[in-house]
Amino acid sequence: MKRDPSLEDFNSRKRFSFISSVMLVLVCVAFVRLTLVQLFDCEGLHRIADQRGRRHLVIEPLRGMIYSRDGLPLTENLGNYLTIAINKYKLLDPERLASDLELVTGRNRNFYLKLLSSKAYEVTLDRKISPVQAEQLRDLGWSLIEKPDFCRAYPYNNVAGQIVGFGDPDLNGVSGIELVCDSILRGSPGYRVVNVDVNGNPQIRQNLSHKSVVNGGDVVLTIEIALQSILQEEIEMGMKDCDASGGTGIILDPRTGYILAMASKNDYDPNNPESSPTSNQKNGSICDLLELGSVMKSIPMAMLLENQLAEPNSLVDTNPGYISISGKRIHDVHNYGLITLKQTLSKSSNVGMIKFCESISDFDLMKFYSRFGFFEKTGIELPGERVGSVPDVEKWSKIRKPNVLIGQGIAVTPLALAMAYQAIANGGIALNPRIIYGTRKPGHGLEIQPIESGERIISENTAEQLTDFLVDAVNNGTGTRSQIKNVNIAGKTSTASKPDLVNGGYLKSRYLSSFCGYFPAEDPQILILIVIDDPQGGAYYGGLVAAPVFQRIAEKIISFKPEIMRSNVYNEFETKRKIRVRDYCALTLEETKKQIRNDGLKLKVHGRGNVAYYQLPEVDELVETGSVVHITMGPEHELPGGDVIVPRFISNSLRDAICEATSAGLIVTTQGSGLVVKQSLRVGSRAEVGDVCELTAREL
Amino acid sequence: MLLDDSGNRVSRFKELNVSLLLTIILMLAMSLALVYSAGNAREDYTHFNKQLVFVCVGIIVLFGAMYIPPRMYYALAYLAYGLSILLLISVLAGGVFGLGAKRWIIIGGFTLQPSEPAKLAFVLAASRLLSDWRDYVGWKLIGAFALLAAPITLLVMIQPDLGTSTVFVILSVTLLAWYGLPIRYFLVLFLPLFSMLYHVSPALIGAVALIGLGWLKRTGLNWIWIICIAIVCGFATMGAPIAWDQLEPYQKKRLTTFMDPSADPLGSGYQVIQSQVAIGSGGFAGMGYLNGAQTQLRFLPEQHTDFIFSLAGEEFGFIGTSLILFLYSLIGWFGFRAAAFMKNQFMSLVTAGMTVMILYHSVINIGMALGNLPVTGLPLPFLSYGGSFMLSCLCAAGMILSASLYRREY
Repeated sequence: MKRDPSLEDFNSRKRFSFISSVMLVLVCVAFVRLTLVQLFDCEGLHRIADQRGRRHLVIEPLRGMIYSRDGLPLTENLGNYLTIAINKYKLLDPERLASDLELVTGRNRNFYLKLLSSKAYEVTLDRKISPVQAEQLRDLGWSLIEKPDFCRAYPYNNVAGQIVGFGDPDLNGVSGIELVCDSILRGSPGYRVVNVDVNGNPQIRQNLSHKSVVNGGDVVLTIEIALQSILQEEIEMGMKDCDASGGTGIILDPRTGYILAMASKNDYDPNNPESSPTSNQKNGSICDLLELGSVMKSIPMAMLLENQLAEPNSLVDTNPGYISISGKRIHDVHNYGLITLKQTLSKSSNVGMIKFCESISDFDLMKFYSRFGFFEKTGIELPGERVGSVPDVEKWSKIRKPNVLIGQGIAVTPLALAMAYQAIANGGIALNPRIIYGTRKPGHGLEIQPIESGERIISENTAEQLTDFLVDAVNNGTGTRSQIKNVNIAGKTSTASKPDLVNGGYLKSRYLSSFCGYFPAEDPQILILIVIDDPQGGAYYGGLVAAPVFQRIAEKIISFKPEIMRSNVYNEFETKRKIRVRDYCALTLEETKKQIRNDGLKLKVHGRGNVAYYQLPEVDELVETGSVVHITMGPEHELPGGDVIVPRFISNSLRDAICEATSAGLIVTTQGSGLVVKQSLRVGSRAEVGDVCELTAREL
Repeated sequence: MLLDDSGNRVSRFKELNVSLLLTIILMLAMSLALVYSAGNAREDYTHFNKQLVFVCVGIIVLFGAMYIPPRMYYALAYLAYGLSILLLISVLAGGVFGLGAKRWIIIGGFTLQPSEPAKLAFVLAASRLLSDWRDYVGWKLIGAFALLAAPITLLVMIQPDLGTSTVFVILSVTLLAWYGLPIRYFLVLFLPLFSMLYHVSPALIGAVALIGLGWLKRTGLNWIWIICIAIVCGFATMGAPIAWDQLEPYQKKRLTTFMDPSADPLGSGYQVIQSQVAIGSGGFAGMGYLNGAQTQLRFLPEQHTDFIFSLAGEEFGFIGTSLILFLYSLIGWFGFRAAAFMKNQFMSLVTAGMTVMILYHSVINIGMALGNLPVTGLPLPFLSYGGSFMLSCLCAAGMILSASLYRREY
């Protein structure tokens, strides 16, 4: 073999030092590189690493619910709908995806292709994908990113649709309560910062910053869904009976101003607002300004009574059945001849009304109308309310006042009229209408909106007289079709000419028939206004068109809520089982005992003496058979007098406190019921027998 | 019987390079920790469990390889080589497809990557060949060596696994150099290959080629040879684009990405960028074990195999990466020192070859993780997940230890 001298040169030591230096160079290069990357670029790269995996996950709040007063949900949040998205980096065939999506959702594929051409890493493809559609997409082999998407549904469809309203796809309120209470219903979104892995799956390992989601609050309406559906059904029936083009109705509680139902036909389904004309979304009760006709006569009538310009039995001559003013004739339906003030209203005599009000100035009349709030918003919690309108008093022609008196030439919303009648029904105290009963923040109890005390606009006497007039109108006048057996109804019919909005003046044979009434007249609890727009055929009078609708609704309400009639029924039946307490004062113990036994009551005697001088229950109170009557005895021929040490009544039950106080010889007046929380005479102080001690009690 | 220089009986274990052994054991422990962390990201610990088995079996293999005397390696060298060739052929015939190539075969339920033991077999066979041609230098030797190296390199290359085939090239070069082949032979062999890169940087490559040719003239080669070599270089330059077309798309992508990773951040540059972000975000002390954002959120691809260095960089920072570099340097130091002072030429070549194999993998892998070298898919010795590679690395380490155990006997 040939030996190469160069082999010898490259001895092992040399080789070792060579390879060691190569290694050293490599290690140095690596060290330099590591130093650069890990010690100098470290912050920037760290930030990249930190942010690329970090996502700000927004947690959408659950929109609050809208409930009816009877606790039924008027809205529903459908949670099983999905938003679908795709990680574009993983998408190989956008064309096929777009075609498949078109197949499943029915939306044009170009829509999806356009979305997919965006530069975003994650593309949201569609929203409100139903579980079935999502399943179809999965079956087609797509694994899309699925996120829950809430969808608002309205289980009662068009019932109360105009009140509840609806929202847009992003759940922002668009109309109705959904709009007005949007801030309550909306809630506030929370967020959670999470790390996502390379596939976009959140990893909740570290405790990064987060904010809890606050779900939307609930709104409870004063609407009762049963009454609402009765109202909508009956208005529709009433409209059908006379081929009317529209109808509006309001049911409210005159004692509280709560709107129990409110509807306008035609209506719409908030689940699918596009399917009906937009005009159907309008809530006619607050958005329509109508010349309602003689139903408005109650207002000048109230003025006549309030200012004592006429007595109920004042007479007026309505011959010859019409009155000429500035060359124009205003007719009555018939010539009523000589009629009283009461009959003027019950027969709805235009001539009588105008003649009675001749002495009232235009200005005073309008001032009185303003008291009823016709020219300002009622403040109901619904969007789009309009304000009643009438021309300036200075510009009134001579015919304007007579027109206004009979309810023409003055346009108000149905709700404003209903609220005017509310004041009459409520003994002269006007309240604000309410549609929101209360709200409930998540995790809290229901916060009931307080009822305002209201404002007295006419005296109680006037209100009573007017109610009496209105009862007469139903029983003997135009409103007979609204009568219900055993129920006293106060109400007024109306048949108004419809104004010609194009040419001015009024349209021939086009009417607005209405009826506004409340019952039971002795203790009004339900007030109903019915307005039927443009009834066709011969029967267009309010008494023929609107009154029967009122009657049917009232009958249904009574059968649905018999408790409304309790006070009446009470008078007729319950009194027989109850006993009116007689006056036992000044009787001797023996006589008292005898009488009380005869009356079917029991006796408990307090104090000492031979003569009864204080009793509880008091005279004329209705008690059940067998109730105990507490009699406090005093010395004969001696009037209450002498000293007593006032005992402690606080935290005793009211009944015990009364017994103790009366036996001590004090006269008691009470406020509230339950446990005594306050007494007007100081404990331990000296008082004279017969002094009045006021006890305030509270239910605890 | 083992005697020391003075003729006293000594225990063979006095010769055991305990530092090297401990270095390797330490790296195995690190490997388990890192693979666990990678699995923790997915909450899937099957890789960790398998790696635990590989490490245990590997340690047995290491000690086994350590106790086998060098003459056994010498005797079995060609047999091992032949077996490897057969296995590589069987991969091509019926291997498992993965990562754009056929690399694995399944034997009795175990997947084996035959190119890994082939590296060891090649080192053994090449060392035997060179030690058999003891002290001879010339083209005949190169021819014989080429006959040994070419089949194994080509079989791996057509899998195709370009990264692993470069291992054989590097082993060939270093074994020949360690044998003592003069530098001019390398120049003649590699100048044409080198000039294939002409299109990447014409000025640099041209200058290097001219210097190389000048060097050849200085060593006394006559002008005819030099002109011939220059012509071959020219052909290689022109042929490079054709060869480029022969590359698989993923290989092209890796090479171009190496030039500019940010050119395709979502595609093939993705891995490199993620790796650099991971290493960089580790900073000096690291983000803490099991706390690396890139790792635990799985932005770092192949974190249990090819990019385990990046994982270490992110979770243990500069301290961790420096430690790893230091440990590889130690292995290199011990390995080459043992090789340099070995009396037996075969064992010296084997030791040097095995050391080079380990170090070459680590250099390429760390270079790749740092974005300085193209993504080749070469794993990190002793650290990366993978049975075949772990076992062959430990076997290689066993041979290095064996050489030092028996260094006085031959």
